[in-house]
Amino acid sequence: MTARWSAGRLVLLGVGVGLVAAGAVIGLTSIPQHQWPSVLVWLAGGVAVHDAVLAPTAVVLGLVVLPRVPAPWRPALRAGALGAVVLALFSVVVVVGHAARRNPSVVPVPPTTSLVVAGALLVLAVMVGAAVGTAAHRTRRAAPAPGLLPRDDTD
Amino acid sequence: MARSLELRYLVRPPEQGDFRSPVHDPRVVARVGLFLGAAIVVAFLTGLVSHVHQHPLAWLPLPPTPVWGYRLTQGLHVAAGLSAIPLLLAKLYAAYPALFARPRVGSPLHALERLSVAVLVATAIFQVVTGLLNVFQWYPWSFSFVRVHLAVAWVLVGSVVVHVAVKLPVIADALRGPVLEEAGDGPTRRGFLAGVAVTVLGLTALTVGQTVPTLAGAALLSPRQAGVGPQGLPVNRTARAAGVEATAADPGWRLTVAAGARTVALSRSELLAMRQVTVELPIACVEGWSTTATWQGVRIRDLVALVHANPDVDVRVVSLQQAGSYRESVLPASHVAHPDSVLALRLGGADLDLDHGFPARLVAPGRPGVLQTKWVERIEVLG
Repeated sequence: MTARWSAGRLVLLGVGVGLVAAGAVIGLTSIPQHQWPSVLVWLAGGVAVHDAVLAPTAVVLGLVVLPRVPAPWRPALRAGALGAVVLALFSVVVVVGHAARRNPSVVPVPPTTSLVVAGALLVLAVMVGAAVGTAAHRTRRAAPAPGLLPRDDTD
Repeated sequence: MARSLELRYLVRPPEQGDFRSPVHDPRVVARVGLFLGAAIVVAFLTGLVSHVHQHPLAWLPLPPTPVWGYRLTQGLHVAAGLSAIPLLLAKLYAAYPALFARPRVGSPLHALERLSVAVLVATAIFQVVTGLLNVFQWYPWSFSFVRVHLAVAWVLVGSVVVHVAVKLPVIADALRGPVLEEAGDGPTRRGFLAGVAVTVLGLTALTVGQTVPTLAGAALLSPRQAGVGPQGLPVNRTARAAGVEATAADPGWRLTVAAGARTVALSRSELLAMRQVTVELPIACVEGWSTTATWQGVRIRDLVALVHANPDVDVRVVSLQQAGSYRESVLPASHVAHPDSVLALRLGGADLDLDHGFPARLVAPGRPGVLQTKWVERIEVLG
């Protein structure tokens, strides 16, 4: 905990605890007990997948890939990795949503079309980002500010 | 050999100090957190709007106007929720080293702080993932999505407030400081923030067209497309799924309008012989899609007037459906009195499609799509 607990922070803390308690009461009174295990599995499962799979993968990718690419590309590649995770998540729901749709107006665009186009847009955005980063890097090098020397920014 | 030194970290559990990228910095974490917090608050408040529509509060009546109100709030709800996906991933990535901070648990207060962060992370991931699956109508769990989504939303927003209270001095310092503070930081932090912004905007551009007509052509990743469905309108529940194919198509169908013992039964042709009005109203879904259509039918207040002298009353609208959470809805008096609240018989100049509620459906301004009751067989004056 950080020091300097002002009255405002304490009020904020109280409000937050109150909101959490309200959620707990709503949950305990409205969700049938036989549904709780499934809720807990999904609550814990999301954290487990993120902390044990997604984040370590991102860190290792950064460790392995970023030192091997030019520095100006790195922000675009990081954003590309973020976009790729989001697109991967969407890919699962789009494919399943399309396959299990209840009527033809649900997920009407074939996944082969939507995901390929979205993936192409992602690659294009990363390439544009890398080009912009490279151009900005050249501009900085043409007029270097004192002390603004490049440094290793890998994970 | 800098690289081999870095790879050495892979063979043992990491420590917070191992993460040396400038991205893992309070200045980045706080800025991403600011937008993530805003997205969560917007999703929470707009979600409450939908909840109050479906579970009315006597002290908080929701007006029928503006007619686009529900469309706006629920479009925002899903857009904010979807934008929270990349924002949450970016926030967790930037703050990930804190997971390995030592001491793991320094004091009871510290343990509580870490527990509150665990609750925050668990509920945030839960809400965005289950919310995403819900808009694609995929339910691979065994709980009631609506009830759990509501309860967890309160816990999540409360956890956000607790987290802000705990971290306020750090957040304030981080936001006051420039993103590039030290010489040699390079464009890493700014580039990371720009990348997050582009990802959020890109995802929004590819999804928000399900409710924003001008972006409809770009809505590749949205679960609904404007103009796709019978009569150019998406369908949530079909007549077959509702089990009303036979009863809705029965020529002997009659609408019953009742006020106590007083009842009137009307055939579809008798309804068509009454004064018809044309209204432009959206079907606006809590799942974030909305499509405006042109409806023709009889004003609800004209139907109420057949059996009740005072039009300032709530009415219950009952469907032919024998089961289902939305087989009936209550239309508040303010909506009954509104001239755009109609029992629609036609859509876009043609008879209603069976999947849009033939022979008659409710269409009223500023209401969730699930309360625009389809296949109506009875309208009852309440009170």
